[in-house]
Amino acid sequence: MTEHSDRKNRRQFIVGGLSGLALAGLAPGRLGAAEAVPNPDPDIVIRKLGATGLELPLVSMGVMNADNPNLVAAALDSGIKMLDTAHYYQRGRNEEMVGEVIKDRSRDGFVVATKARASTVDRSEVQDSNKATRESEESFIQKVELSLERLHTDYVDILYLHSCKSREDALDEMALSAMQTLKKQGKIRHIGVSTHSNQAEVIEAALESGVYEVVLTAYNFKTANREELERAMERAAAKGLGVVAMKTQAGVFWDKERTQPIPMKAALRWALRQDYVHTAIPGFTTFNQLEDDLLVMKEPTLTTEEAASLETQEKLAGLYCQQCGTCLDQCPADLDIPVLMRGYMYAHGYRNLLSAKDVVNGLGRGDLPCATCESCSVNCPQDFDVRERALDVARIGQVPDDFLV
Amino acid sequence: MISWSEGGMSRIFVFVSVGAIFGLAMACGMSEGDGGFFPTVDGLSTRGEAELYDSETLFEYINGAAESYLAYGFEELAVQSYEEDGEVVLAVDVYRHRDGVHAFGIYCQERPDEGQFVDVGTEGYYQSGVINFFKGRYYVKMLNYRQLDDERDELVALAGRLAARLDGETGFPRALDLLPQSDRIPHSERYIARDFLGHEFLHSAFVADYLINGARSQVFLLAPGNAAAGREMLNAYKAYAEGKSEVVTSAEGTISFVDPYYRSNGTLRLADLDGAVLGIFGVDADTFDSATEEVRTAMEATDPPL
Repeated sequence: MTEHSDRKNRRQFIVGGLSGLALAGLAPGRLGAAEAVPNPDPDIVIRKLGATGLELPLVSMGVMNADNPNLVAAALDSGIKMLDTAHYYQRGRNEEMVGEVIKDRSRDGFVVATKARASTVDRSEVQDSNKATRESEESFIQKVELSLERLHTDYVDILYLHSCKSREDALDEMALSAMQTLKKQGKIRHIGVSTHSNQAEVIEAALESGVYEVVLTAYNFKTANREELERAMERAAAKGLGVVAMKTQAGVFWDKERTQPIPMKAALRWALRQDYVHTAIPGFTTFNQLEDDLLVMKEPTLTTEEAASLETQEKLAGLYCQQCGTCLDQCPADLDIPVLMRGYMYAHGYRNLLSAKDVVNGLGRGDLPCATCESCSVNCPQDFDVRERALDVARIGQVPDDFLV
Repeated sequence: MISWSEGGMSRIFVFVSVGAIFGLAMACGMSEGDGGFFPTVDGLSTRGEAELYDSETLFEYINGAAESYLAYGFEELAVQSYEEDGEVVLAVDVYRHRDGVHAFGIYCQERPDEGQFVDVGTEGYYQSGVINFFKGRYYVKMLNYRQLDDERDELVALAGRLAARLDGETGFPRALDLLPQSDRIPHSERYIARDFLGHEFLHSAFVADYLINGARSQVFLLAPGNAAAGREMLNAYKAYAEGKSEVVTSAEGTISFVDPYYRSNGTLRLADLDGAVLGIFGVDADTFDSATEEVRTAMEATDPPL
């Protein structure tokens, strides 16, 4: 054992020895089944998770942001079967909480999935691999064994290689070897890979590996390069891989100010509309959200109204300037572009022309210099054609109010 | 003393230079001594410039965990890595939140029940390779990869130097002082910003665990900042319980019922304290009345009012 892995063991042992359960829910020893929720409903729609042999309700639980063991217990009692956590979530407390919930339940009654990274960084995620120290195969296995301790179980049903961003990440020799060893040891049942970015590339690599059995991918109605991803997901499912969707809520809110929530049921139904999505792991933190998810488990069809609403809102969101201010230093005429873009949204998004006029005239700039600016130097991160939008909305400043009602 | 600016800074960017931090610090009247914002560390050099993340870019750094941070009023994060022989051996994350209550709240999310608590900032703890602490509206996480014989002492000293540069008072949220003092389990206090007990209508909860007659119980104070908002929560909870449980209202106005999702916790008793709502699971009426009186008295003595 190397000096480095010695150190990791010491750290993991200490962290793993902590009980840590008193979060939003209840104190240890007080956890009970949620008697209020009904028995699992026979109407719950079940899909096979590829060739794993697992059969799961359409909706599983992403536990990451939940800190309430009673909510997790209620989810299991009401028909949700799979709990999805990770070694790093809440510095191990998330796995510990799940462990407290499942430790006295029949092991056949639930499916638990966790994730481990190929790096030793003890933070939930780090994008810069330069900051991460590589795990050895031995230390990777020890990390998973610590997860099993926290979860109070001898095995996890799925172990994902956490947060792969490239083909190279997914085909990491150390991780693949370690996970195969763990599978032989009976400590994991199925090998998976999770991905938030470059998902299609990672899924193709999973297929190429011949090792992975499940892919967990970010997927929602706002996903970039959606067609490419969907082709990869479909191919994976056709080849027998289980396909699990995450991030189905697409950021939860439409707006930066987080005042306009994305409809949870519609977004979830959208992600489940394809047969090759076998289950989804939306995160939820309230019993009401759980009840919404239970409805989707039984009635997964995206209604026409929901589809139209998502489409309309998505288009509307495209009109929103995120007010990031990147443009402020770019305009040679020193225009307050975020304000102009807000006016554009009022005019074209809300059809509130009076408000748009107020915003434009509030700038006090009269004729916009954009008209005489030969080429706009503003580079908007949202790819707005700033000059075109500015000129478009500026016209409204001259229109009498009577014409705007 | 560093004080990140309000509002305008939220427009900032990922991967801006540490010069921006210096600029801010200088704007706030702080000297650049001792390496600026992040302390120097003997034998280590900083790797590149500090990275800053705001509420829009935090997902790029911690992915879905960002949702929890945003729920606790996250505003900005500064990340500095230190290296030795080309390898990163120390990383420091400084999260700035809306206020001290929210920084305390997110700190509690990751704090272990048991640990080696250290005298850094308002409260901190050490685990092998890790020191986390909070002070004012800052939550700081330090991760060390080096083999150090005196790791704890070295990390505590470094954390102390960083804590000294952060503005804000070292103190817990005032509402915690109002909770009953006796039988309280040390380091069990926490703040839940939203979805308390899994109910969307409950928020702004200051919570602590107690050992009462050998049984662990939970006491909470919903303190949203004004009496009307507190009363609204109480009424919403009562309305939720009606139809699911027998709701009893005493002559003094105390409400009690069994939350169906927490049946094994026993009866929940709630009292409107005109500015906050006190709740205790699993105690008898006399115990609750006594606690209510203690909290009410503490609230009346609090200046300024909660």
